[in-house]
Amino acid sequence: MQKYIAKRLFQMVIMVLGITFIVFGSLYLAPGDPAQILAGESATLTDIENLRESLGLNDPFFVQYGRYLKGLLHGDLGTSLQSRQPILDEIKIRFPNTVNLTIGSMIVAIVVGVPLGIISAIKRNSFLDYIATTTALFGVSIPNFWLGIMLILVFAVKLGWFPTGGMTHWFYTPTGLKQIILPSIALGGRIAAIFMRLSRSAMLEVMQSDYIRTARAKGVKEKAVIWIHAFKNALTPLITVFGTNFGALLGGAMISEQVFAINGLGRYMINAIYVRNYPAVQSAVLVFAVSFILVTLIVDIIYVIIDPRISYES
Amino acid sequence: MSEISVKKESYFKNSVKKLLRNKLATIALVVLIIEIIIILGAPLFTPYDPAKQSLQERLIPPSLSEQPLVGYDGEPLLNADGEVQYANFHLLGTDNFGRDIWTRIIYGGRISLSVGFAAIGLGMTVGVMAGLFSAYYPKVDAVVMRIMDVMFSFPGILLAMLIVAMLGTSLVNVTLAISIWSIPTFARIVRGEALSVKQNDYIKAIKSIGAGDLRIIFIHIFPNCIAPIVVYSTMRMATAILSIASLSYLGIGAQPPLSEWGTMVAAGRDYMFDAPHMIVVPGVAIIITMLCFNILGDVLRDILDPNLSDNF
Repeated sequence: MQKYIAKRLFQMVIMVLGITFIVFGSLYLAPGDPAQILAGESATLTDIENLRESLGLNDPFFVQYGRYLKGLLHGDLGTSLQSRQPILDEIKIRFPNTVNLTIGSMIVAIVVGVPLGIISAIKRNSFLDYIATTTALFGVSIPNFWLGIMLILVFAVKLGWFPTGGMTHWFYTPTGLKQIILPSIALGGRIAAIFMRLSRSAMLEVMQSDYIRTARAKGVKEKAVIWIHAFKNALTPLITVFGTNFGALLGGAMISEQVFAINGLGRYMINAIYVRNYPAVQSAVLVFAVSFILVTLIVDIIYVIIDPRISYES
Repeated sequence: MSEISVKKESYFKNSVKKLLRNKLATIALVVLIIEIIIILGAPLFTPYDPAKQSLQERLIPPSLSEQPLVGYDGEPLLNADGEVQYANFHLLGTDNFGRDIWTRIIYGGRISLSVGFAAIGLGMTVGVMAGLFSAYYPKVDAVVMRIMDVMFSFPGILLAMLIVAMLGTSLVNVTLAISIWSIPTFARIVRGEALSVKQNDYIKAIKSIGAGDLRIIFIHIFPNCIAPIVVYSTMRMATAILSIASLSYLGIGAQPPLSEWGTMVAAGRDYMFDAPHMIVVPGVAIIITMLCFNILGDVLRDILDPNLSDNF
């Protein structure tokens, strides 16, 4: 077990290194001269050249990459070309909002998606199953920015139940709860639909297995068959899916943040793209990618702990 | 002695038959075909120009009849004889510049579909090559699949955004971004399939009679991988169309005044109280297209490749 975790941690370090390489490489290749942007419009060529030299921009690629990695280890993500502030400080303010939104959406996805999937698997081909699968089909086909705007239009503007946007509190506070409901539905709705379809098919597969027939044959009550025998085994394939869909959530978070005017990392990144603030774009991508890898790692470890059939060695 | 006739039916014909036996899939296919015909022949299906502005006719709601022109004060516009003036007929209404929304939807579909097809085509070609060669040559496998692993560890939309941020916001870059994002999955699916095909005896037999590597890869292994490629491409089209619309909505895909479904929704945001149809109509266009591709993808998977998992 420890060996497995150590191996996964080592793999993770390699992955993160790979990502820093992609991120730094794209910064290096990006059009535009950072020294020129930093020096401002009135700078002379000598000023720019001096700045280039002092920033080390004339050094070879790998020297610069090494310096970038060293900076990362010291928590230095560089300076924003727009505000001239350290990017780390700017991200620190915004990242919690993104985490908040992601947790809220994951809760929506799990609470709505998994039970619906299980119920429609148990009552296969019933009216309920038909409604649930159709809803899920729509769920994966509705763009989340559009769903978000529609939710704002109906529940915030027409009915006035929720604010139209913004995020100031964590989801477990009363104000925070009101703020997060609409964005979480907009973002989590699609994932809920994916979870519904997956838990339905996982449950159907388990229900057809031999040991379920045996359990029924020996007279176990149907409820116990479903919840004790089937559900636990259907849950394991779902756990890995939580991990892979976390990436989709992060991507969708950018859109949801934009629709609901939430001051999160995604919105920060999109604004940085508009003004070609490359270091900020790179840092945001790096933070997103590393959190994705971390979540995948945690999910994999949980998976191994829960399912004893998985061998740690492979 | 009477001859026993064996009716031979091709795999392709058989699959199409199975597909058409499914009512929902048939409807989806017909809707998509109609949509593609309308989009390709756009000028035949509308008298208007997608970019032509007509400020007198701004924000007209969808209707089945001609609507009276309304001034900025909300009063109907009258002509010299004191009669109410009517706007041209706009089935799905007009936007804030008085452009016909139906026209913009069908012209916008050209962008969504062509970027979608181009991106999937490109991603598929590269991914399939990578998968086939990785399965055949272990040395290629070691390098190529590690690169795919790193690409996999990057959430797709992030990769797309990084590419667009670096190369600039243009449709070509968006196409490139979406195609790169599809490569690793195509590579993995094809590699898995090709690895199991490679174990078959007939591959060993062909090899022993002296067939070259390329011949084995493309003529004997590749055709066996087509089913999962078709299934995944169809599913992926839905994602691609959604991505183009999302990136355009965020302002980093198609740029105004180009009509594209995502940009149309974004433009409608400022008018969502006065003219909700500016948001609803392009949204419905996206949903119909996505639904069709998703339904087709689901049914094709059940027919061609029941083992392919739901999640990519």
